[in-house]
Amino acid sequence: MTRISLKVLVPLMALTICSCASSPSQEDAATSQPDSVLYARGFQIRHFDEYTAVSLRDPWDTLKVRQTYILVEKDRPLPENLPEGIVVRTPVERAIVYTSVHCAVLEQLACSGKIIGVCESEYISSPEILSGVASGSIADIGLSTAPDVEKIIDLGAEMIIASPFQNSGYGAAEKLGIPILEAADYMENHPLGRTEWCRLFGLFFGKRAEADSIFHSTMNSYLELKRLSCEAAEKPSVLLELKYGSAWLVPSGESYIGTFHRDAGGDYIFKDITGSDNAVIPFEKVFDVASDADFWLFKYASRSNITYKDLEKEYQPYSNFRAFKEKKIYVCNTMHTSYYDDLTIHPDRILEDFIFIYHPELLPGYSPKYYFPLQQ
Amino acid sequence: MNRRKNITLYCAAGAFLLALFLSNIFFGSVKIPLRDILAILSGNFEGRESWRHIVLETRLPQAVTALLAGSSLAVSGLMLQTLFKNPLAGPSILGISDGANLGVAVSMIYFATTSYITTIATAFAGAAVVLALILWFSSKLKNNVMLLIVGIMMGYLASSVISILNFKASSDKVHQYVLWGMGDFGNVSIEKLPYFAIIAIAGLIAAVLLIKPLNALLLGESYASNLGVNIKRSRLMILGCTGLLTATATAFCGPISFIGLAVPHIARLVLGSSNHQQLLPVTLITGSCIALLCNMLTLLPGSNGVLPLSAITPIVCAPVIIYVILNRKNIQYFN
Repeated sequence: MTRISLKVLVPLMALTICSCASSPSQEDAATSQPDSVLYARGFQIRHFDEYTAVSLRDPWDTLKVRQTYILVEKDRPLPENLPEGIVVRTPVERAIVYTSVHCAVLEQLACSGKIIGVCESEYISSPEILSGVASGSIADIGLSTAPDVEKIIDLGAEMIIASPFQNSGYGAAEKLGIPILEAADYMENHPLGRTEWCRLFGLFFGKRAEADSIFHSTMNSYLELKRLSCEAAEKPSVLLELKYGSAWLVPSGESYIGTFHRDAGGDYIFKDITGSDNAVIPFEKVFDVASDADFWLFKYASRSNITYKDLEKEYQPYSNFRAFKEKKIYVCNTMHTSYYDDLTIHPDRILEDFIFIYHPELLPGYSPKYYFPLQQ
Repeated sequence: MNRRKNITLYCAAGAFLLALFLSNIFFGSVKIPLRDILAILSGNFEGRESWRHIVLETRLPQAVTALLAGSSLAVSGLMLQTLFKNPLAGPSILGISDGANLGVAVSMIYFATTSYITTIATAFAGAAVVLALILWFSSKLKNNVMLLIVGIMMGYLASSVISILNFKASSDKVHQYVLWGMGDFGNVSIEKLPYFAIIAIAGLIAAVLLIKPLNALLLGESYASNLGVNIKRSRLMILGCTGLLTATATAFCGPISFIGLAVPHIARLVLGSSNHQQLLPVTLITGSCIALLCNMLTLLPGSNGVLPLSAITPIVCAPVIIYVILNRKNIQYFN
């Protein structure tokens, strides 16, 4: 009995001694607090005593970590033995933002004053940022695919916020030594996953509490609406988007778009298509499967609003869809609505539009904000 | 004997064309039983309404469009190769299709219009402007090689303006333009088909009427002049006809590469002759056959996907061009 106990105890003691002499990173891990990320799949946050580590997952290779940022507050001395990663001193006060979607997120966090440069200002709808561009307090650094590097250097930015694309870098901008936050929020497959990225932005801009509050308020509103849509007895079938070129770019059932329509109480025709990207499907296959869909919703960007007549002129076979014949087509002109600006922070508002289309009885007196009936 | 050979050749080509045309109607991404397709075509179908729409409003206009666009591009390629005495000339060589591309790029990228009607109109306008310039230059330049160089330069000019527009455009607009640039026979709906068909058939009839001057040009311009052919007028008419055929096909279907360049060579290889009396009809039928074949190949077998037409035409036609170049000395019409 004693011999058996010794046999077990000796290796256990050895293990204990080994663990006492552990590396500093393991020691840190013991004092770290993981921040619970509820919907987003693209990032992880761990809070340590002296810094916060944020790791971004590669959306195209989920086993890979795309980037790690070590956030250290500006009023603290830079700790020694920091783990590997891009060190960012927070709160960031001077940022260049490549996309209008991320400008809208910073505006919600009351951080638009920290934007010193934007790309492609013609696509920005925020009056505050546009007036900044007009007055010269915010610089337009050109195209997001080929920004003016000299202007970036001259602006003295502390950080660049950009949208990553698969297998492409940021050109000369990534050689400047300015940290680039690769915000792949658009690759999330849940609308609230996109919203949750505002919590990440909050950490960089010293607005953690505000960002958490915005996220939770949107999440509660979204989930409340989702519960409401569950009350509907029927789920109308829905077809999305339009034919482009020779095929139809169909959002997959697992994409955030697919999730939106499921949560709104709709029966998305292509819900069984897997993956986060769009699927390319020939027109006749779409017609064969979706010609009897109850609703047809699509987005377009045009200065003038289109009509049923325009749609038929565009491609006559469109008129054979049941939704066309029964005038149940709803459209969102992204040039006249703030759809893309609100998509990240207020998916609840977009969900509300979808619920109103599918189940108007659940939202009496509601006025849609993004999707409207296609004009006759 | 020769006549009998020609009749056999025409019959075989016609049968092949008919087989490909019917295959385009019988096969697609949706499996529809042959019996039902025949019932739909004969007007006695009482099954799924969506199948009737697919066959009559999608597959049928697409097959007719492929048939006409293929022959239009092939015939204009043949005429340009004869006119410029250059085996590597094609409809894109004079910048006419680049003109159409530029028109579409301006409407899609600069004016942000998504309407298909506007796309056709602007493609046609772009091609017409380049064609008018080419015709104007042809009255100024007597040398065909110089005219060819001017055409190539105009193509480069149009391409560089497109590059600037693309560089300045947002990714969704570029995506939209790139999709148009991939070509698609399915863009022409049954309603628009008559417009496309009338212009294409008119251009093809004009090409047939130009057989005599084309044959005369094979002997060289001075010989042709001695035979009583008005060189200046013939050149103008050939350019006008090829311009019309290329502009129509590009405006309605998007730019389709290689058919115009490769098909005349396939026809010459099959025929072993450069006489346009036989060569032009064979080119016309072969152009239709290749276009119908490429249209079928755009449907990836066993999957949901569709391949862009512009990716298929070089796969089918480029080996022919390589064969022509490698066997330049052995092929009769180069000697």
